[in-house]
Parts: sequence; structure tokens; C-alpha cells
Amino acid sequence: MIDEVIGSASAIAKGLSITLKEMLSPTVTEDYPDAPPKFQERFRGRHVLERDEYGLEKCVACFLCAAACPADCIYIAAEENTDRVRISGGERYASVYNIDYNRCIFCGYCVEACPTDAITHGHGFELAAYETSALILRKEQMLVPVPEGVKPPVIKEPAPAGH
Amino acid sequence: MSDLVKFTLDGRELQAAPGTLVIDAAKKAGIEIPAFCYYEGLSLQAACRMCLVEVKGAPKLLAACTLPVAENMVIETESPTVVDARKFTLEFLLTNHPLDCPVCDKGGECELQDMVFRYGAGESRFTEIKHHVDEKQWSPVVFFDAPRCILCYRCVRICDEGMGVKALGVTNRGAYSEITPNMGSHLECDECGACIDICPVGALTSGIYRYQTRPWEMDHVGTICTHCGDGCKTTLGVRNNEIIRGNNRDRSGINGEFLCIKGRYAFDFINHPDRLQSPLMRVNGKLEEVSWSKALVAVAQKFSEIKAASGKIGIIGSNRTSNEENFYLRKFAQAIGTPHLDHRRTGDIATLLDALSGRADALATAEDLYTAQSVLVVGADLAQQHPFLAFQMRANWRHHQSRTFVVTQGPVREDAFATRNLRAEPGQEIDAVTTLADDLKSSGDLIVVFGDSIRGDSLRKLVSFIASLGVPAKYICLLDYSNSRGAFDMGLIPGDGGMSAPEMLAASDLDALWVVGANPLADAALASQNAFVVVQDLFLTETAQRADIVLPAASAYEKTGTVTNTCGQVQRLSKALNVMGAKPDLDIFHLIARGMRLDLGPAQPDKIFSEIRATVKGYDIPLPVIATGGAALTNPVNGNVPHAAASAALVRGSRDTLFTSGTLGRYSPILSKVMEAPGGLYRK
Amino acid sequence: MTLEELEPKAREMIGRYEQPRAAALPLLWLVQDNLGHISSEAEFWIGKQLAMSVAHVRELVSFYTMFRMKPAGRRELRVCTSLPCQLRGARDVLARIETHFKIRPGETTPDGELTLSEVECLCACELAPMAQLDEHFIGPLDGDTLGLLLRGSRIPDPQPFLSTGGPVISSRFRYPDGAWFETYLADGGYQSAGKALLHMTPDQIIEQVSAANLRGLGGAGFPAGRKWSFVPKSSPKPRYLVVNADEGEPGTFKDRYILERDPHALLEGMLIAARAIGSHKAYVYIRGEYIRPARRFARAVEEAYANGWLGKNIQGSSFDLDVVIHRGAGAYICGEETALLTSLEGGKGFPRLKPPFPAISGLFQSPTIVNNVETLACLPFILRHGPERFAALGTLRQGGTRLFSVGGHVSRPGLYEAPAGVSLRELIYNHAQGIRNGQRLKAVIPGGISAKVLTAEEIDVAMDFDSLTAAGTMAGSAGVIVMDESTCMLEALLAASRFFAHESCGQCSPCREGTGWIHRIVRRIWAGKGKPQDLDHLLAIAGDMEGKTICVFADAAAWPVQSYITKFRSEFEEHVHTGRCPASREAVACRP
Repeated sequence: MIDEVIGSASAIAKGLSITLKEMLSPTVTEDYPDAPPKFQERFRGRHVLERDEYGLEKCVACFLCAAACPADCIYIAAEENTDRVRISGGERYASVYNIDYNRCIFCGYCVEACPTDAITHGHGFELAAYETSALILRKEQMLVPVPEGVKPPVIKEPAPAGH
Repeated sequence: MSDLVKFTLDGRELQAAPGTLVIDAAKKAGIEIPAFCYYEGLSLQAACRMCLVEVKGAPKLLAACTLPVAENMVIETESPTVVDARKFTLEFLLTNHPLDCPVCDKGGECELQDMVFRYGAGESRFTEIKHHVDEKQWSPVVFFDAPRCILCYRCVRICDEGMGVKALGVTNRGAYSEITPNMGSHLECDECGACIDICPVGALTSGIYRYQTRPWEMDHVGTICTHCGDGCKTTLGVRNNEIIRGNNRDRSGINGEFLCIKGRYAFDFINHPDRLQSPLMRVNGKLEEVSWSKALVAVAQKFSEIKAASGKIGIIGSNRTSNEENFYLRKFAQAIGTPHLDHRRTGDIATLLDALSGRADALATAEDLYTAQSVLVVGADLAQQHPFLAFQMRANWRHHQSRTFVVTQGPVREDAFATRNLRAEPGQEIDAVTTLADDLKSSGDLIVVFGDSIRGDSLRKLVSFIASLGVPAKYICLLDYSNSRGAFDMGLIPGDGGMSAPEMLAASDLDALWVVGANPLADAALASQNAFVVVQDLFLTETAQRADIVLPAASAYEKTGTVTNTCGQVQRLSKALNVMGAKPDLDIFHLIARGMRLDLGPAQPDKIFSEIRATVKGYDIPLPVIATGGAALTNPVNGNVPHAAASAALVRGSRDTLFTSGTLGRYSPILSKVMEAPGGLYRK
Repeated sequence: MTLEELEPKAREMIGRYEQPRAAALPLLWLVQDNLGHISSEAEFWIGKQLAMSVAHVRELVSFYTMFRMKPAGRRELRVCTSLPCQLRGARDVLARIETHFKIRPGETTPDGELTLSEVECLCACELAPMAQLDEHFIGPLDGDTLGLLLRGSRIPDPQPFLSTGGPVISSRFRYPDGAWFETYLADGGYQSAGKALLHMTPDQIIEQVSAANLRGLGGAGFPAGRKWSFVPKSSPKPRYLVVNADEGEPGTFKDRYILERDPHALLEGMLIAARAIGSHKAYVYIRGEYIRPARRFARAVEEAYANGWLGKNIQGSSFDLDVVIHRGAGAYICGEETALLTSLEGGKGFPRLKPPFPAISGLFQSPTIVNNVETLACLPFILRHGPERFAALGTLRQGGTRLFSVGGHVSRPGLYEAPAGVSLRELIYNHAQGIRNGQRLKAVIPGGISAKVLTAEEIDVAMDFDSLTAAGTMAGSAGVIVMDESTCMLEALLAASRFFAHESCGQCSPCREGTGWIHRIVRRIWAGKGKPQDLDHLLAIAGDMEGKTICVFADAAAWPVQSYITKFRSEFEEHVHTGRCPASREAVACRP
């Protein structure tokens, strides 16, 4: 009988000790959506298009990401930089840069292919939408803002009429 | 065969004709010897030193591009020394070459990139500062980025030898050598873009294609250029329903890689802002946009009314629509019982075919121009009006030392290599030609190329004079538009009692005029004030402005079908893109016919072509040839037309130059830009 | 002067050549001499005269350094900074000129009086440091002469040391104003030519020249008689004799003296050679900078015509020979025989592929023999005194004497005629009177700048072609450049590599890119920014260029690199590792 009591008590103590230990150790459960989730540094989330230290877009529209993409979800239209309109550091820039997140499989090949480190994986993951068209993100949605205190040398002006 | 040379290449016993270069012999045996400056058809330069091979017994490596095979020669193309030499040559070439492949237009189809990938060293020892020169624009179509240039001299040679223009040179020396255009700061040339096309790297880039896309992003559609009558194949790079570029790098088609400015760049009329995208109907004296159904119903109704009242309907067909469309249009004319059918004649092919009747092999192909022993050009400035035929002749002279005789009104580019060149006023060329009798007799087989001034009796005189020489002769009657020949062969000419095009315009009692892809009112007036005018065209031409109903038509790049070039070679059009609002002429014919309850048979190009093969004389050509993108010669005497229907007096050439192309040329921004650029005088 | 006024003269010039295009350089000279520079209009005009595309005319103007696209000053001063002049202080001379006139090379003084340029070797190393003022070669530009130059005073003709004792070539060098026709005839001149034209068959001439062991003295050393025998006997095409007077190898200045002081010897040699190969037209390609030599030679040609030694039916022998003098315009590569032919035909000096060799298909696709001036000048002696005597002067396989151009750090730079097999030590210590200022010898380049360098221990070598080849270098053009203890070998290599980078024609990619690459590395080391791997890279790059190009220019550019670095490796290493020059002991590179 006593053995039974002692046995039970020790079992409870053992069980509670685990509880106690876990109480003191860091929480792994995320508080999402009440708090932002934490990610591993190398988590491959929604893409981010980078800018260089002058605020120019790093993307030179080389199309290598689109070529590397196994899901064919990247669409680019290129245009030439001029003295008046300078968007990127190279001779040309992406006037359109779309990623279709209906199709993207987050494999990271685009990031690997990029010769200018223009495209990176961010940690964005909230990619649910009520319609598929909303999942096609445009360049403006993915581009990092111009760093503070930096003014890109030339801001795009409207093209002359008849162009 | 005993006259072949035996040699050993990479351990394989091979044979080749004496004089064959090692690089060619290797290629034939399936062994690649890399090279930049070696280019088939151009003179040998041996400058890039990429093609070095090891020959047993030779003290040093030899350039395979200038080394003819010799009996018992033992050649190694993959020995360690050769592999090293290639590595070093590439390293040398890259010392001053910027590594900007991601933005370079050539990236993805760059020979240097490919070679470095295949033969290059993994890393470079070069750590010095590269020699830099800013990029230059030489003309609306040609840009030059000197640092990328690897000085293979291909552009200089294609311009000197291929085009005969000699617009490029290499100035300075050593590492500072730089390609320079003839005018110092800009180019005055044919703007053919051959230099851009032949450039193995991205040094010469095209003003049209620059920075638009990358090679692998495009679909490549091989079709036939819609400008002049030479029938060059142009491979259009299409992305997103837009033509980005034209070239013919795969050398398919009769023209190999040759293209002039029109074939390479002047596809841009399809995107001209003035392009018609909706049918127009005259309401209260003004043309207003209407729906297709409304316009088609109106046309069908009006035509039916006139037909019922036995009125006169005149039909003027096009030099640019496909054979199928022309054939269908003729069927249409027959079905509504009008004999008044015509098109603009740009050469007297009718008289030629009649004069030659009964003789075999009397028409020359574009390929024949490259192989004939002699060529006689009468009354035509080929370099301006038929650049591809001119290119063939020049290549023939360069490679086979053919003899060329030129009888023209003024100086022409062919003078430079002509055995004899004579000047004669239009209409008086035959007298000059007869003075060449002795030369022509002794020059072997002959091709006679003649322009629009040789027609009717003078053409018959020419044919009988040539026949009297006793040398084998073939003819090319120059016709000016992409399907002038097809329009004639399909019978777009007046039937019994029918009026010719000028007669239709002059007839005051014409009830309706139906103009398909032509602009007869550009330089003539329509006499009949009350005629109901229907125009199918891409643009609001002078004729379309007079129309009661204008139907927007698709260009040759927007439809399938076949066309026949000036030599009588049939080739297939492939559809490259759709243009909103416009319809192929065939569809328009079909819809009007349906509105009139006419049964003209199926309206699919393939089915009509079967009909053409069965019914049009000379068009029973092998289908596989054209189906695979080749050119089939209509043979031996063409057409659907009795000679009586043709009148030499109606022949009138287009007078187009390298930089004009009828209506399409007026709406091509690049042709206008080139005409207005510095050096425009060259182009007048 | 307008272009229209030049037209008759232009037509006359075009008439001298078989193909109009060959008159391109003469026409460019005509325009520049009369109008001061070659304007864009002039390029079009020349293109029209020659039925040539203007793009190709412009190629020529930019390829040859002597042509100007912009007007220059009234006087032009071209300062040589090539190795032989550099050894004798050309850098300081240039610096003093720059400071005095306050202009940099390539600029003109504000008053439009003087245009200054820095040039590669003008082949007057006996005058080092020297410069060319308009057509005059002036030097040595040490204290006094430089002072005169800076003050704008008249500079007396330099009096360098020349052999005058013969036996073969130099005996008539004793006439400072040249041995003209009368003198030459009195000296036994034209006897050999008469003999060759009237009494000898071509085969006999070739036989005698072969027996004399005459080698090509331009640098290749190919037996002259054998070269002539390659000309096809039964070709319907005309045969041409081309004289290579495009002397350009840094360290060499022998041909200039033959042209200036003994032009008839060359002409007589040409007559003999023309007779031997059956040529009736000879072209003499004289380097563009040799203005006075060309004028003097032209005078000799006039005399020869006037006295029946040129033209039709020479001396009743029914043998014809016409001579055309063709001036180059500043391109070292044109001294290479095929490049010379391309240049003569009106092209840029691009060497051609061999085969076909010029003897089969050369000038205007016809059989052509290209001989050096000195080679031809030896011929009268051979025919006059017999091949045995000539052969006996030299070694077993190379007959005769040679004109040795000795420059650099010797006490008495000059032109020395000596037997082909003379030893290098004798040349330096006996003929040139040793190293200047009693310094010790460090290195010698025995055959022009392309030749591999020899160290002080290696100078007991005979100077004939075969001995020097056996010693791992070459006799080349016999331009001996002597360097004493104070010489920085890196700086010497810098001068050599700059020369080759400047003179590469740019046709073959390994040479075009390699010469520039080598020059940039050497310059970087010289500036004290060497990297440990640089020396190995230099050796590797030189090796990678060698033997991979159309002509041997790339090899010539590689040899100095290889020999300097191999033989003086420790000196180079010290440069790379410390940024100091062990020779001059100055901090950071050899010069401030």
C-alpha cells in the first residue's frame, strides 16, 4: 500500500518535473498570428528585390532567374537605362518583374542564378489570396524601399510623347 | 576515289578533296575545331588563333583555318598542347573583354561565351585594368561597344566582301584597334545589319533588339519577308505576341543568313500607331469605326445588290497577299461573274513565259545566281532593289570568279566587279546588250536578270538574241513585291472583256471597286464618283481614305499560306503573332462570300494550296519541300494565265530602294529613322 | 595648296604602281607634306583617287604613327625613349624638354611652334639620347646639344663613330656627304653590276652568292642565294625585287648609313639581285622617319638613271630595271617581309600567312624577293673579288663582314664593320672601347631588342648567326645594346615590353592582348605594386604567346621577358617583394 503511494507520488513528481523543466526552457510554439513568427535565417519566403548603395535597383534584367525557374513563374520585360531614366546600375533594367506565386515552388534557383544578387528570398510567407490574380506580385511589391538618405541619381520621368 | 587526300585526324583515317581546309574536313567528320575569325564564305584571316591544331612533324601549332589537308598528314585537335593553346587564346581574348554577360545582348548565344564554357580555363590570371572605350551609336540600327570586340574582322569582311559596301575598317593598331565606320562618327551604308548578325560577341548590337529580351526568351518563327520579291526567309524572334527581332542565323531558306534592312528590321510596321484595328464605314461622309459584323454585312449586301443588277465590280488584288488568298480572290471574282480583276504588274513575266514556252529549265532560281558562270543584268539596280539577288551574284563572283555584265541607266554597285558595264537609257538596253555578244558567247552558262524596262517586244528581242548565242541561258524577271509573282500566277488579271486596273479607275460607270492590299489611288484618281469602294489594308492609305468601307487586314507575318518569289520559288509563310482587330484577307474574303451566300469551297490555306497544286500550271510542286521550310521552284512554265490577258504596257516597277517598301515602308519607323539619320543622302 | 592642285601629282604617283591602291601611302604623304595633316576630306579624296573605301583609307591613317589627322606645330620634335636611348638618359632629356616648353608629348606649344611627341626607336642609337627635329636626327642630347635645342639654335650635324675601313661595306663611309656617282665609279663601282648584266647568267650569280655564304642580314640569316633560287623560273607573272629598308629594330642603325653614304652600293647590289631573279622592277621600302636617307637615295637613283645604270637596256645589256622608292610611315611591323609587302600594296602592315612564301606569291601575287639593304650592299664585293674572298672573311657558314651597331653603355657607340665571327667581347671592349666611365658590364642584347639577353659571363661568343643561336639568343640585325651595372633590368624590360605593346599590329589575338598584358604587369611591378605570382605569370604569358601567331613578332616580344626574368630573377624578385630597385638602390621603383 505504502509502496503504491510512494510509487504514485514519485510518478507524479517525475511527470511534474518534466513539466517544470519544460516551463523553464524556451518556448518553441509560435504565437502567430498574435506575434510575428521567427524564421531560420535561410528560410525561403516571398522574394525581395534589392537595391544597391545608391538606391539603384540591382536587377539588370538578365533573365537568368526566369531561365533557371523550374516553375516558369518569373516574367520580365527589359528596358534600357538612359541618362534621363536610370533605374539600375547596368545598361538595362526590368521595367516589369512579376512572380506568379500560384506557381512558385520556393526552390531558390532564381536566387542562385542571379549574377547581381538582386533577387533574394525574404521571410514573407502570408501568400494566401481570394483570387489567383492577386498572387502575381509586381516589381513594386517586391522591391525594397530606397534606403534613407540616398537619392537615386535620376528619377524616372514620363517618356516623351510619341515614344 | 584516287584523287582524294588521305589524312589522319584524331586517330581517324579520313579522306577529303585536295585543298580542303583542315577545319572544314574536321567539321565534316564531326570534330569541332573552335574558331572566331574563320567564317565560311569569307576570306581567310587566321587572326584569332583559336583553331590551332597540332600537326605531326610541324615545329609549332598550325591554324586549321588556313591549312589545307595533305597526304598522310597527322592532325591532333585534342592533344594537351592544343587544349592549352585554346585555353590561353581565350584568356587573351578575355583580357580586355568586359565580363558583362548578364546585360550583354549576346549573352546566351555568344560564341565567346560558348567557347569559354567549352574550352576555357576555369580562372584568369588577368588582374590588370581593362582598356575601356565608351559605347557608340553609328546609325539608328547599329551600336558598337568596342571593349567587347575580339577583332575577328568578320564584320569588316562581310561588309567588304559580302555586301560590297566597305563601310567598316579597323583603325589604330595593337590592343587599341577598333572597328570604325566609314564616316568616322556614323555609318553610311545599307544598314543591313549583317555586321551585327555575324559578330560572334556583343560588340555590334542592333538598335531594334537591344536590351529587349534574351535569346532564349523568344519563339523563333521562320517566315518569308514581306517586302521585296526576292523571297528571303527571316526568322522572327517573337515574345509576348511581339516581334523583337529578325535574322536568319540558322541559314535556313534560300538566302542563307543574308537579310537586308527590310527583312531584318522593317517588321515594325505591324506595331505602327496608325495600324487599322477596326473596320471603318463611311457614315455621313466620314469614316467611322464599326464592328466587323456590321462592315461585312454592308459589303456583302452591296456586292449582292450590284451583282443582282449586273453592275460592274472591279477588283484590284495585292502583290503581298498569299497565293491562297489570291487564288481565293480569283474564285470569288468568277463566282460573282466579274472579269474586272487585276493587280499592279511590276515586271513583264507574262511575255517572258510566253517567249520561252516550250523550253525547259528556262527560269533561274536564286541559287542558280550563285553557281552560273556568267550573269547579265539588264535595266536593274540590283543592290538597291533586289539586295539578295545582288548578294548572290557578288558571292558567285567572289567564290567562282563568275563573269558579270551590267547594262543599266546609271552606275550600279555591280560595276565594281563586272567584266563589262555599259550605260543605256531605259528602253534602249537591248542595243547595248547586243554589243556584248562575243563576251557572252565565251562566258559559259548564262543567267539573264532584267528589270521592268525590258518588256513586250524588247523582251522578245532579248530572248531571241540570247537564244542566238548558243549558250545555256536562264532568266529572272524582276518583280518587286513579295508575292507579285504569285498574284500573276494565281490569275489576278482581267478575264475576257475585263478591265485592267487603270481602266477600272478610269471607267466612269464602275459600280464597285474592291481593293485588296493595294494603293492604286496613290497616284491616280477614281473616275466613277458613285462607285462603292471597299478596301482591305493595314493602313489608311490614299485609296482607303476614298473607301466606303475599310477592312483591317493582317500582314504576312500574321498569317499562314505560301508566296512565290521573283524567281518563281514557292515558300511558306508562318504565323508569328496575332494583331488585335485585323483579320487575314482570306478570312475576310470568306466572310464576305458567306454573307453573299457564295460557295467558294474551304477557306483553309492548306486546302486551298492543294487546290492550287491540282489546278495551277507549274504549281504541282513537292509538298515536303515547302512544308519543311524550303523553296520549291514552279516549273517549267507557270501560271494560270493565257498570255493574251497580259499587256506589257501595264508593267510599272515599284521604284523602291533599299529603304522604301511601298505602303509598308511608309509605316516602318525604322526605315523612316534610317532615312532621316545622318547620311540620309546615301539612301536617296 | 588644295587637294585639286595635288591631282596631277597624285595621278603620276598612281602610275608608278601596278595597282592603284599601292599608291595609298605615297598619296597620304603627298597630302600631309603639302597640307600639314590628313583631314577627313583628304581621306575621301584619296579614297576616290584609288577607288578605295574611305573606311580603309582611315585604317591606314590611324595605323601608321607618322600620319596626323590634326594640324601640328610648325616644327615637330620626336623624342626617342626606346631602350638604347633610355639607357643613356632619354627619360631625363624628355623631362627637361617637357619642362622647358611646358608641353606633354602629343601636345603643341600655344604659339603653334613646336609639337612634341615621344616615339619608339628611330634607329639612331649611336646618337643616344636622340630626337628627330623635323627631318634631322639630333643627338646625343647631352648638356650642349640639348641646350642648343632648347634655345632653338641650329644644331650641328652629329659626328658619331663609323668604321670607314671596309673591307666590304664601310669603306665609302668616309665621305660624310655620301659617295656619289663619280666617286663611286672611281672607287671601282658598277664593275660587278656590269659583269652580272653582260657576262653572267642568273644561275651563275646565284651560284657565286651561294658560294660566298651570304646570309640575309636583315635578321633572319637565311642564305641569300638559296632564297633567290626559290623564284619559279617559268612564271608568266612579273617578278619583283623588294628592298627592305624599313630599319626599325631598336639598337640597329646600319641601313641608314648605307642609304646615306653609299647608296650606289645598294643600287649596284639591286642590279645584281634583279638580274639573278629576272626582275625588272624593284621597290625600295624606306622607313618613314628616314627622310634624309630617302632623299639621298633618291638622288643616287636619279644619277643611276642619268648614267644608264637604271632604266631600259642598261649598259647595252638589254636588261631593264626600274626602281620605285616607297616611304613607310611609322610601323615597326612593316620590317617583317610579308607585312612590308602588305604595306607596299596599300594596306595596314599586317603580316601574311606563309605559305605561300613571297618567292612564290608576294607583291601583287607575283614572285617576289625581299632583301635587306646590307645584304644587297654586299653583292658588288662578292662579284668583284670573288665569293671565296668574301666567304673567307666570315665563318664556315656565314661569309663576309657585318655592320655591328653598338649602342648603350659603351664608351664609343657607333657602327663597326667586323668579320661575321667576331666575338662579342671584342666588339664591346676593342671596337667600342669598353664600358663607359669604367663601369662593369651587366648584360648585352646582341641582335636588337628582340634577341634574348646575354649576361656579362656569356660574352665570349662569336657574333655569327649560328654561334649566337647556339648560345640561346640570336644575331638578328646585329644591333648590340650594352648595359652596365647601373642598369635596372626591370626598367629595361619595361622599355622592351612597351615597345612591343606599341608596335603589335593587332592582327593575332595572342600577340595583341599578350603584349599589352605583359606591359601592364611590368609597369605595375615597376610602380612598386608587384605581386608574388607576377614573375611566373609573365613567363607563362610569354610562353603562351610564343609560336602561336602568324609572324614571329609575338615570339620576339616573348623572348626578352623570358630571358630577362630567367637570367636576372633575383633582381626582379626584389622588385616584386620590396618595391625597391636593387640596381639603383632607390626606394620604391627605379625612378621617382
